[in-house]
Amino acid sequence: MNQEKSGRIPGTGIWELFLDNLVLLGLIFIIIFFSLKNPFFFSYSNARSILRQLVPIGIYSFPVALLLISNSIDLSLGAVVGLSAVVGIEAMNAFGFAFGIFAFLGVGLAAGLLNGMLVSYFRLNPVIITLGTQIIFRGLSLSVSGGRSGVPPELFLKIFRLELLGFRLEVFFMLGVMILSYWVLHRNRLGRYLYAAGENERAAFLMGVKVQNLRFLMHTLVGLAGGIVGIISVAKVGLSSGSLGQNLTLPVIIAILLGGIDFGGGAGKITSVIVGVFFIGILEAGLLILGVTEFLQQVIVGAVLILAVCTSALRRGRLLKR
Amino acid sequence: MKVKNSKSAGQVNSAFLTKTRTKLLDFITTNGLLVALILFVIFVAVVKPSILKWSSLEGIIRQSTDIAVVAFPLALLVIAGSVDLSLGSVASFSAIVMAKTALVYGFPIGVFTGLSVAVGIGLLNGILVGYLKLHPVVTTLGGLTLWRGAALLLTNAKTIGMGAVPGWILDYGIGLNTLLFLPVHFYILTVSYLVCWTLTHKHRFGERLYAVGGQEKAAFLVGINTKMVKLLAHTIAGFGAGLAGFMMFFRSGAVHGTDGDGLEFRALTIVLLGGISFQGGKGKMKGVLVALFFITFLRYSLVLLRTPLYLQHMASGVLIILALFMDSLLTQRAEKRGSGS
Amino acid sequence: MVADPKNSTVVINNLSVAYGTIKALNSVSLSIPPGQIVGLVGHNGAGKSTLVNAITGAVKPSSGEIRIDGEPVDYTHKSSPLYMARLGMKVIHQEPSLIGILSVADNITFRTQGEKRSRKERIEIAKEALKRVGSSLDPQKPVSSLGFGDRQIVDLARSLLGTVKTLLLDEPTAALGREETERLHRLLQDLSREGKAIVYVSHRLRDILEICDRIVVLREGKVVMDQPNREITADTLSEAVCPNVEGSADTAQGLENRRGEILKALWRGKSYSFYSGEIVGLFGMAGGPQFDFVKQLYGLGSESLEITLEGESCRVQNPREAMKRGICYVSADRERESLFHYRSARSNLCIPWLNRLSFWGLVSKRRMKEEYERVRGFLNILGPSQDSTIDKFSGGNRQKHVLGRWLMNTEGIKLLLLCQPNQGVDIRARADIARALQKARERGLTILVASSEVDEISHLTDRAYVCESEPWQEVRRSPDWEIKLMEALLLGVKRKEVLS
Repeated sequence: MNQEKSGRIPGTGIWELFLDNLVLLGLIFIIIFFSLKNPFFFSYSNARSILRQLVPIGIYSFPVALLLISNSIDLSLGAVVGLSAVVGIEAMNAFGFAFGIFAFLGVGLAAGLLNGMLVSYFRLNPVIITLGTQIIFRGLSLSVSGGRSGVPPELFLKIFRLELLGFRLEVFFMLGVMILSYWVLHRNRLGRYLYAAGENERAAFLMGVKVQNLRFLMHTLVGLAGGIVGIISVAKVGLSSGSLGQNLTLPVIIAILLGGIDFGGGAGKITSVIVGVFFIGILEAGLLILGVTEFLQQVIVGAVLILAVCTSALRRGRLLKR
Repeated sequence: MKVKNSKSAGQVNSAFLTKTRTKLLDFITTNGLLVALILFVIFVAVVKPSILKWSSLEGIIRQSTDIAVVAFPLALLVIAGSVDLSLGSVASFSAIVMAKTALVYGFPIGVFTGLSVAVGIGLLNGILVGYLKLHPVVTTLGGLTLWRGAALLLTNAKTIGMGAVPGWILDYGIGLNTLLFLPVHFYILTVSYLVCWTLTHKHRFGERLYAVGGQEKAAFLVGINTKMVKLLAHTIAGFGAGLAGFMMFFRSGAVHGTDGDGLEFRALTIVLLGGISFQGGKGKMKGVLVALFFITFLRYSLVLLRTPLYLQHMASGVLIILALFMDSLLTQRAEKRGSGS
Repeated sequence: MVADPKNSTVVINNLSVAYGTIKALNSVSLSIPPGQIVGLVGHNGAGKSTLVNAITGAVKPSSGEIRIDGEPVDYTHKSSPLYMARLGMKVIHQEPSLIGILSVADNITFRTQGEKRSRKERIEIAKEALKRVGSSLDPQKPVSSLGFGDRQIVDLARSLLGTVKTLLLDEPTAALGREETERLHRLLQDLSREGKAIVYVSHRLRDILEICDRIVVLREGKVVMDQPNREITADTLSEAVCPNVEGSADTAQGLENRRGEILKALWRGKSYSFYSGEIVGLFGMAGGPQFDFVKQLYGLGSESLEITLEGESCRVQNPREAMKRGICYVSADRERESLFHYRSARSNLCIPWLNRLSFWGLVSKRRMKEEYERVRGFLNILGPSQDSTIDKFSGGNRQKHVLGRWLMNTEGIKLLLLCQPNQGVDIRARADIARALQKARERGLTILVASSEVDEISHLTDRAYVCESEPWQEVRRSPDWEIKLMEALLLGVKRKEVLS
């Protein structure tokens, strides 16, 4: 009278192997594709500029991936970046460099705190809530900036455009974030708690995991990451505006989905997310190089998102289930 | 309920008070929005009496039709337990298609094509969410970007469609001409409300919507084709978006790729404020109607009161959060009360 | 009293738990000494789960007390495993709370001291723990790849880390095969030899007789038997467990009423026949094959049965197809699979028949109201008006709505499949339901009742198959029917064997 739980064993089998590496294959494919279309693509200088474009997505993707694993989401990403940039630069221009940096980070942190509180303690649906906070943050940044662009002080640009070994500091920072996330998720018990909270909240709670606090912490970290990305974005573009970060939310979500993490929580690896980040980063860069209009880009990004959802669902064995 | 009064003599009174309090709370939660709307109207009327002029009210009705045509089908969809975050982009895209086709083949064919495209997109979403069981939020987020991009791409971000709408129709659209003293928009709003209301509360499809949204497994077990229900709901939402596209076109005689930006979020706010639970399986259409007027009135009066743009923006965000708050509060109260042994 | 309270690990003293006027537990006294395996048995509603809940602190007693290792149980902790661990008690549930994506080692060390160690060390700790429970599972495998039996082993291994004085197993073997059950039993014997007190709660009388030193039988909230295993026979046990069944008056004529064969189903190589106008029970252990059988008849589950329905051979692939062929189904999980909680009672009742109750798609409220009134009379539904939400009705009356769904339209239905229909249903409602089912039977309907409760079977059905072993054994209604059913269940194939 053995009742085996029906359903395949994940992680084995040809099909799973194929899916796991599908994104990697896709990555190789688009690199080849773009290089053929434009030989400049496959050059060192281009790689550097791609990396530069990639960093904001990269830095954001990892904390958000951890958040998703614990079964929550933050869709206000881009707006937080915009808000922190606007407030940060205004503060910097008014009160000095250090204060400005604090402002950047503080705004991100506050945003994360707000989201975390609403989602964890008031137990509201994270999707809708963060859509709501996104609107609020966007509105706030428009108001603070008054529609104008802010100019960062010289010192700011000097520091954040510093290069080490030919790469800007931010690249190393992203590397650090990657390594830290990997360590947290795969080598630390905190990561195990995240998986537990995402997969079976009740079981985790009964086992003593403070699920609410955990999610709250994750939201706050994501917010903080937003502040940091704000700094980097301003350094990259050279000015702050209320609409900064607008094109950030979707690529981050895509990167994570391509990394095999989906909205159900409880599964995913950092290494896959890395591949996902590179995929979307290179895709966007490639489209730019090809001279594709931003509108066609939008179409492609949207389509890729839908495809990413499909692959992510496939990998979790959810697709086509009865 | 904590009883703060002292015992014996106080006990009877406090029991009565808590009972009244519960009844009051009940009334507020079910009709709260209506109460808020009335209070708000009174408030604004006092501050700026010009709002009670017919031209203002007529303007409000005309403005709210765009969103109404999307909000009611969206409510239907949310009741079924799904959602569509791409409706604004679909509306825009379908309007563009309408305009482009109309310029070549004439207005009727243009409208037909545009509406068909919107229905087709709704159908596609229905397949992705209903049959492939993809997560509706992310999938339609993709659609949001995709169709917006497509709309801008097809027009190169220029306004198009001038001259495509026949003059006499445009007159109705702009509000120059009225039908029985009311703008055509009013009739469109009424018809879309009635259709959605009938579908949800009088038609057997509505019973199935609630069943699928409320308890999908149970619906499956009583023989309801849950996939088909979701597919239909998404298709209806798509049609609503197409209709909104038509409204945008017909209202001004021209369309731009950025029209309807944020439409879906405004519609979602209305749906949630109207008492439709995001979980699915709960809520009534008439709540959505009240919420619609509330939001539109709010927007209009904020403009009238010269509130800065960003505050108006933020108001939407705050409202969504408030709506969710209320929804979760109600669900928790119902769970405490209703789950008797 | 068999055990001396002074030396016992778990002492229950005059415990009563009342829900309103109904006493789920009535002055229960019980002691569980260290080194003894005590079996706790009772049919559904006898108070078994209430007692377990009281021991773990999930439920507050109305009077009396429970002490674990001298400490009175504190109900504010609501059976949190951490609190239980402090009292030295570990509870093993049928569905272990494990995190599928993590490895066996990670699960075993989760939220324990060992968690902070390095990966290698954790694997070692896990290996030790597994060895202790006699398992050589690879600690690096993800838990999601394990079957029920292995998951339970992981749960056990995890539980035994740290000091455990009392082990409470709640239906531990429900999903296990023969070998795994034996392995578990050997382990329990080792543990009791080490001096642990073990409470073994189960439906499976055979397992209880096999492993327990002492057996306690609960019936209607009272302890009706508390004796050492060697003093008990299969007969006396079955008799003690069987509840007082009432009101099964009309069913005696059951088999005379039946007409032609309506269904022939092939299950594990043998074909079983069911006739029009009869109510047939499918009796087995909790989670047994009778439920799978019924589900597959309705098109649920991954396989489909080969059946001959009214002479036509077919395979039902999904519920819609089943309904078209006149087969209907009531799930055992009423709250999650049968009821639409926010909908009105009327909606809940009429939901499968929307096509018939509407003109041009528009639902006829008038006709729905009429149908509701008809069913209300038929099933004697008690409660608020049909416009109120279904949640305002009591459990028994909710079930009447669920059953009424199908019973209201008996013309189109050939076969009604019920899973544990009396679960959570009070006695009065049960009588109403039984009456309604009998009337339906008279109209020629065939009803299958899959259950693990003997009183349900004896109350509702004309004849029953005992699904404990293959081929199924048919047991017909007779004066001592319940006991015969229990024995058949207990002993599997051999009916006359007596364990002593």
